Amino acid sequence: MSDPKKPSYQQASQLTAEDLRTVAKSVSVQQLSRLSLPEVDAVVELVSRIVPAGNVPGMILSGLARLPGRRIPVQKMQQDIHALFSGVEQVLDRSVYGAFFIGPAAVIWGYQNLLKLAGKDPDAAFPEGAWQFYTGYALREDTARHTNETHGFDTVLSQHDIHPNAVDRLTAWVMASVMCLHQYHALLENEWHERTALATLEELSSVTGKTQKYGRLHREWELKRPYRRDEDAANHDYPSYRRIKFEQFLKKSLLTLPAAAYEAWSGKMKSLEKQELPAYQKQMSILAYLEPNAYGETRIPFNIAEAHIGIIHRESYYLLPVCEQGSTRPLDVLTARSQIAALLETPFPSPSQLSSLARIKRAALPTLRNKLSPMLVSGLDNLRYAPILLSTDVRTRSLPLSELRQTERGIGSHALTIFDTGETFVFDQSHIFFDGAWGTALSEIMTNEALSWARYLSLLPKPAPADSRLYTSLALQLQPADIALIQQAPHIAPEAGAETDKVDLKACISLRKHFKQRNDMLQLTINDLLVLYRAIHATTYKPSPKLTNEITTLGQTQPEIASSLRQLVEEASRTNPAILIPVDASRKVPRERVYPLNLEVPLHELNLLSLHVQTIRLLNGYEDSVEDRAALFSAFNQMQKLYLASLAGFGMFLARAKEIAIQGQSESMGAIKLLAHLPSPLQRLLDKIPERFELLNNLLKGREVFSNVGAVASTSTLTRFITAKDDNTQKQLAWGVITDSKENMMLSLRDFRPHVASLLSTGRKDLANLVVQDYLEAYADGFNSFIKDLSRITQASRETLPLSKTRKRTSKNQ
Amino acid sequence: MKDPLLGHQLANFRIESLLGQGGMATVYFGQDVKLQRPVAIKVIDKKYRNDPAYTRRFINEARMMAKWRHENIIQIYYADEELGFSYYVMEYVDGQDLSTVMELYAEQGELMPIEDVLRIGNCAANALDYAHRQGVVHRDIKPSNILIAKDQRVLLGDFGMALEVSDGSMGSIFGTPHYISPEQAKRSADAVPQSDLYSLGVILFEILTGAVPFNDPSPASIALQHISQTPPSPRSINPLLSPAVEAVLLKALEKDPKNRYQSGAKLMSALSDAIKSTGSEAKLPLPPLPVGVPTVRRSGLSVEQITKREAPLKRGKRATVHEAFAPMPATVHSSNQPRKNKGWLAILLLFLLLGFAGWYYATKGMPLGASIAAATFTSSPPPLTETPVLPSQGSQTEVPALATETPLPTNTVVSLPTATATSVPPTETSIPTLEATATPLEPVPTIRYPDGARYTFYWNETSFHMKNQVGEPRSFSAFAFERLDANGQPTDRFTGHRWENASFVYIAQGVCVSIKIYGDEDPPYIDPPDCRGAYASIVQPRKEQDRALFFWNPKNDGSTEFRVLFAGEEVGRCEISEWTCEVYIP
Repeated sequence: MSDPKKPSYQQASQLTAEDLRTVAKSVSVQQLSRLSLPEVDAVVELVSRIVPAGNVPGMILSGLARLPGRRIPVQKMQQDIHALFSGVEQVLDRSVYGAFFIGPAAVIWGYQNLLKLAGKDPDAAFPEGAWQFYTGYALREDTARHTNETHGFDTVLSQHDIHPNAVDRLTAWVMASVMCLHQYHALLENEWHERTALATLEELSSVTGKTQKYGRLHREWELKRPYRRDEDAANHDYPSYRRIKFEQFLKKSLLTLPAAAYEAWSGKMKSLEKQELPAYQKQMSILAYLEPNAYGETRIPFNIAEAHIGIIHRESYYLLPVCEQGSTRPLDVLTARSQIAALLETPFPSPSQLSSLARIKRAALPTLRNKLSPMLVSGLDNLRYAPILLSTDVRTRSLPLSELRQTERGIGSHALTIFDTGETFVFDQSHIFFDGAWGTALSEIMTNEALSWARYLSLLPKPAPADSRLYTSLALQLQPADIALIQQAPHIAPEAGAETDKVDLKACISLRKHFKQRNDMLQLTINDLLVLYRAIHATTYKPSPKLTNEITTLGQTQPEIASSLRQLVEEASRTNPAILIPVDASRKVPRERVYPLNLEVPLHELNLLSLHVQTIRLLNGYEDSVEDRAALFSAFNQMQKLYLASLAGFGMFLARAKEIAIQGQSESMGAIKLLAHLPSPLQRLLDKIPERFELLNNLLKGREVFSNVGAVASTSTLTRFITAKDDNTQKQLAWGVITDSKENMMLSLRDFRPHVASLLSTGRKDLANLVVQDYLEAYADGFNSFIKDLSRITQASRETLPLSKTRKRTSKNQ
Repeated sequence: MKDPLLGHQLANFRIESLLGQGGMATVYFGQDVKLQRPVAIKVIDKKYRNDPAYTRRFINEARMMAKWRHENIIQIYYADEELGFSYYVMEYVDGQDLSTVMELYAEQGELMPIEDVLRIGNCAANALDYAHRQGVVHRDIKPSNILIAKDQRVLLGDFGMALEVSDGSMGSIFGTPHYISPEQAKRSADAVPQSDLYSLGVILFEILTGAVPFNDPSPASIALQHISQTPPSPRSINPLLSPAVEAVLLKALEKDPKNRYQSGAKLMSALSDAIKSTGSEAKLPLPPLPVGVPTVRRSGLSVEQITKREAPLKRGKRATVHEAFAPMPATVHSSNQPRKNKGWLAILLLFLLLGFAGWYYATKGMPLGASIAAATFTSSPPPLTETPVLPSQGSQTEVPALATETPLPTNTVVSLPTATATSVPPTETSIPTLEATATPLEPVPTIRYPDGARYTFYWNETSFHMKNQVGEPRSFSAFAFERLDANGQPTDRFTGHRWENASFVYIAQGVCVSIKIYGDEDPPYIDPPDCRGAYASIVQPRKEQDRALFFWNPKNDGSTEFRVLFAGEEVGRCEISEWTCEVYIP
């Protein structure tokens, strides 16, 4: 409902600007700020547009100006951001707030600009990196969890004819989790050490002029790094084994370093290890729970002695300590086994229903908590000390991951939930603690460790239940009053999900080879092709007859929903979406974690759609014709060259953008500008690449997420992956891509578009699923055709036979 | 002496340089002066020029091949006799032979990518099928006869030993022993098209595993093995191969030609299908047991091997405690005496522990053997950094019995690596390794484990080679070598982890590894026949920077021997001046 007392968005923005301008132009701020007056004006405009919070920005700016030095205390920064959120909420009408305000990224970005105005160092304000800060504010909801799946546990055990009973199956995973928590700092140390050692080496090598050689080390190590202990690791736990392998790998390069360079490297590593490693371990530790407040999450760390493994069995929650009683030593396996044997035998209490709480907006939880029954609150408080929840309630593997995870999974204050499908294990990970790459790596590591435990357990006599209990059962049953309160609380947007493995990766790999043969500059990665086709798909998608029929049928009973759905699938999606690609930013500075790269595929600038259509048409004409082939070939050849040059340019554009994002620094644009022969639209496009991307600006603009965790190692058993989306309601699609060890590409799509809620509210979950499945499959089918076309175009030469002749020849040979 | 043919012209072909010399002919690089294109010219060797049978065969080869047109067979352009020279002119292939390519992979410690294996295999198979359709058996299929051009074309050459099947010749020459088929090894004239496919099977085996199935210093012995021995399991050498791929390779190596694939196309199609299905069928290895769980000791053997292994006395019964603790046999070297004494001390200590454990578990109704692991472990906890997940005090009775059929072990203490960066450039010893520390320095006889796996070493001043003659694959990193100075103290040290690479972590049966001093080929590296074509890994430390690794080189400190360590235990010593030696490892 609109509040007549509150100003419109524009008015609020204007008021904010006026107030802010007065403060910004005061003498003290002008003295501090390094910006010129026109620059001050521009920043004021920007801040007041994205953070229309009345006089709050002016007050904050004034406060910042009074602080000495360029750095500001973290606590002050948190208070300011809190005030900004609260200011926006108070100033804007709720309906205006919901419709126009673009969320936490805007506030944080606005704050960064205020820091600039006050002459403060924006980077210093975010000691854990802007991404980490952002996750706590805008990747907090249930939809901000990404999920992956491994099949190694069941596959390998079955291959070795080991069939663990229920107790040992769970014990293996409990022990893998126990050890994971105990070794987590060591695991993080490896992550930090590997990245930092290689980045430092690369940096130093610029002095010796061997940058390329050392630059390659990252990729070489990526291919070699072990995710499991092999037979030669019988005496080493995983973290120390990995460390040894890395030292061995690194040794070759260190041996060739001149003594002075080695000394410099070694000195820098020591100093970084002292300054940055502990902070990184603290930042990334999962020994913490999330405390929600109105605007963000606070990570509350706890000690290993307080930590537990949460076990979800028949929808009830149990806690098992991860340390031996009265010590910080890991819980021993035989104790864990006997406890689990007892737990699985215990008559179970009535099930908990926390899944309904998991879907409440985190901002509403503090208020809700005050009203819930004390026993439930006490149970929830205890549950916070379980960073890992293990569910024994088998989920069907055939479900898409987005649906598979919709079961008992805590309330979102912890890092990781592991589900069992009977054939695979599924890892549901909070983005605050994990990025896609680290999340999948940990899943792989845990699967292999669980395998190791299962192998050991298979050698033991039958398990026997313990006489005395170390585990505790949590009372998390909802009372009727709790249920009513939960129903009234604000919920996150519902979702539908789909997955497909239809993409013909081999054709794609083969196309890349043809590209390379054709011209070294045609260097589009598989991900580039996927992203490029996503833009084409968005503008060309047509629903299948099946979906069209379903919508027509829906129209007979639900005409309004059917109409909006028709509009969505037929028209609204025909825009070129701004795609957010998470790029690994940890290579250079581990704490930076992720750099979101916002990209709008330059379909129009490069005229790619039209070029594709015309080139194919000319090729068909050439192939079909038996007369005047020279002229037809010449026409095709001209278009082919133009199209391939445009594609090469698109590849370079992306490569450059990614490079800047990864390096987090500006570099000379000269190299690509030299490519004078490229089409002029491409030249203009390259000029558009900024020298430094604005992280939050990218987050604001992205309309959908496209996350590709890449191809897994040859021994990996990762199979599926869905990505997370931030809490910005404008982001409605989240694409996930993973390629398994058999070179099958698995695509997933999470759909948060408004029709999902409408269809779910009318009981048409099936139709919501069909809509997203149809959209995804159309993408995969279209992508395959696109690749096929590109292959034909790339390979076509003067000798390309007319189709009729090719057919004759083929049939002759058969 | 300068080759008299160099600079001469035969017909339109100017001979420019020597390309290679075989047993019976010499191949030159030349130019077709009219067509201005490079050619290869094969000229019969002087000593065979007066052999009418050979000359006829040479001409036959040229005549036969000149008729052929196949993209994977080297094209013959011209054949003639001139100035008393019999020669033919063929397409010049600018590239390398497969043998060289495979060596390059071996030097990198890598295996060829699967797509290339299939591509090369398919081309060779196509060429063979074509030749077989013409009624010709190649009879000498080996990697050096398969050429890979710079443009990546694959060509089969040297039909020198080819025989028109219809001739029924009794030819006395047989192909290269590593790749020879059993029927050819018995009688050359018995070669059939499937003989070539057998040889192709051996090549595929070698490309996919890094080792030939049969190897021996004696060519006759290799031939004999082809006739009578079952080839080793390819997966025992490369565990990443799937059972399906293994089945194809083993079928290709069937002794009876009728049981092999009947055409190259069928062989390659089966291999391609098997590789495609590898992902779903590949048996992934189990990881080792968790660190610190109550087991007897950490040996190189897997749990399955330990639990399934026969008792040492092989009497079909479990070893008793007395048997397991029996002193070393009398054959032990006299210098081992101090060790025996220490061994008895250890035994005494273990008996005491055993007595305690026996009493303890007897009261709990556990079998005696089951108690030992826990007893030894709890009496001597490992270092803190290796914190074991041991049963809590209250639940010790639940310690499981493991490996009761194995002899009781010594409780080896394992050194854990420190990974702190130092300001001193890394040396061999400053880098953490996965090996165990050595046992105290006491000489042991060369044959400490007479029933163990036999390893042979060959060396000269510039290179060192190790071969697993017979035995299960062993981890490279379990090996270490130390030169002993005049006082018997260990000095220069080489640790086997250096041989590890992306493809090989284990040294399989029949496989060699070597160390070649980089930049020092004076005298040249030796090339033990035992190892040819069977290298899994070659490391090349630098002469100047890595001197400390050259344990087999006597220095000026009076050293005469080096010792071999396996899993931290000395398993033998070698006299440096002997240039070869062998040890047996457990």
